[in-house]
Amino acid sequence: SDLSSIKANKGPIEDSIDLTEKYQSVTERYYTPYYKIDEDRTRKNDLCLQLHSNRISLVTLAPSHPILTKNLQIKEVDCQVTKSLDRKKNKAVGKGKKGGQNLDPTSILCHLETEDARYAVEAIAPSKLICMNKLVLDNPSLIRNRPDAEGHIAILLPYLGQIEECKASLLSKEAYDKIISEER
Amino acid sequence: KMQQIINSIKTSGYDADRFTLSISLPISLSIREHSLWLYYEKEGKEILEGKLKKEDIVPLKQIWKYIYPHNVTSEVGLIHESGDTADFFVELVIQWEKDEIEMQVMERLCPKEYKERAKKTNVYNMGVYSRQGVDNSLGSVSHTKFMEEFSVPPPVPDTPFQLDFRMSRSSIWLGGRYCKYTRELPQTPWLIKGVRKCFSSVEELIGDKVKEFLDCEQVKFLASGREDVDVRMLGSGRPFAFECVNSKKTKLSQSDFEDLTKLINDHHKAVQVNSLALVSKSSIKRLKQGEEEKRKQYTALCITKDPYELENIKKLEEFKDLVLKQETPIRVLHRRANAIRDKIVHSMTVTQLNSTLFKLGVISSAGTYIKELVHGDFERTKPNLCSILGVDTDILALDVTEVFLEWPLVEKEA
Repeated sequence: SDLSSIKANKGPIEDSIDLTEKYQSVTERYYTPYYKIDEDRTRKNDLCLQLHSNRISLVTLAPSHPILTKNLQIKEVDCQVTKSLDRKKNKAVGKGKKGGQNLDPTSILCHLETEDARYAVEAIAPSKLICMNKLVLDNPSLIRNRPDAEGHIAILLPYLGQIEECKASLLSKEAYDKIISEER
Repeated sequence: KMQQIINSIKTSGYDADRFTLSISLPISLSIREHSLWLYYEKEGKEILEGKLKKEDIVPLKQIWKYIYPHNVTSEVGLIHESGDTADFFVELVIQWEKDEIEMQVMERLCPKEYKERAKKTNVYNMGVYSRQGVDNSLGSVSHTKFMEEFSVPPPVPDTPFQLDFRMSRSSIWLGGRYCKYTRELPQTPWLIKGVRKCFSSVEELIGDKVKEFLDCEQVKFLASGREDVDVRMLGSGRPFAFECVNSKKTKLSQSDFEDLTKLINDHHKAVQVNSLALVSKSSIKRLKQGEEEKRKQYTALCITKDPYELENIKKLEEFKDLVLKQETPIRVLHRRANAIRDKIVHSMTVTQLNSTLFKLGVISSAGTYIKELVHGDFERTKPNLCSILGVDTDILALDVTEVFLEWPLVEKEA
């Protein structure tokens, strides 16, 4: 586009944008989902990485996860990943998020305890941990009720040099939807 | 050559009344002056002793200052001022190709000092030799040592000097307010890894014309805060200023301001300026203060997931000075630290458009993220419209309708 393609609009706010677009949630509007499905298709610990246009990512449960499909109650979100590593203690300071815990795609962020099973939530992307979502630590039911919004599990900053490779290894929404619909 | 300089000043196009003429001489002159003095001390010992010291000798530069600026003044019709008070500077630079070579004697006279300085490249990035530095160093060198390394009297230069000159101006500041009537233009150039994401910006659309009108070397943009690409700036506009470097035109009449305003406003209808005025350097800090302290007013176009009750959203008008706790919005989290900041929503107004659409008017404290006030950013901003209204609410469009900062501040004539 160039100078001539930009028009001046001095009218009221409701006339300054295209109102015919259908309503999208904040997540749909600003984030692109990438899916990592569990190899074990009986367990189905399927996860989703919601990637913002600025590269910041949310780790959430995918719609096919049993906690969502079977409406399971989460008793606890356990951030004590090893004896010495507590994700809750993560501190990412300043613009550069210095000190944020280093994560590999298979690093475990936390465990979700349900009545019958214990699900490990992986980081999905090689990244720095910015923060675990405090809201779900206090109120785990948000994960089930608002999985891709208030119920996100963690916020990460994927490493710039590795993000493209990471995206290529995950499923797009189209590919994911196809696999899941074929499973039914 | 002086005539050439005089002609250049006259035809330069700088609209100055006063000027400062200065000269810059080769640094090896200090060494040669020292050598010459030693020679006179030795040869004229009986005559000079007790009557004349090195400090009594008037430096060459001083003598030049007594004679030349005055001569130039009458020819160019400008008043000469020494020091920093004039805003137009003409500097004569005399250079000599053997200057560096001769100065290397300092390394032999004061080896420790100059070898140290050669290492500290960040402090001495303009070169290890300075007039002051050389003068000071020479003070500590014994006569015999000096005469070992440098001839007394100094040798006659065998290559000529080069005379060059530079004209420059102290910066002026042009202030004003701008409005942005589009959702497709960034305030400042938007580049990602050196590649432009948008072909222009508010800064360039205004700045290019200012640079053209004032005929200056460079313009530097400053504004009191900024709005996103997709946010319009309405009302009386956002305060801004341009530092105009080395500009030929510094005096602007009322009609000049009108012409410049028209020049900028005709350039692109989506960026319009008003209230252009020259501002003082000291008033510039008000722009930053305004960004950090002053209230702003916005209009947000909001949509709810499900139809809302009018009485429900009218509740928003009852809030006064509502305190928000805003955790760094996720959309800026890649470049800002993750922190919680208190912000205040002073007042809100609502206008219904249809069953799911309404207009929200907000007056808030500086630095409030309005988009997050509406949708809550997954509860990272509390409270928010979703939590207050009890329904998923999102923002479709945002306009800044007022920046409450008095600007520009025009200096009263002394």
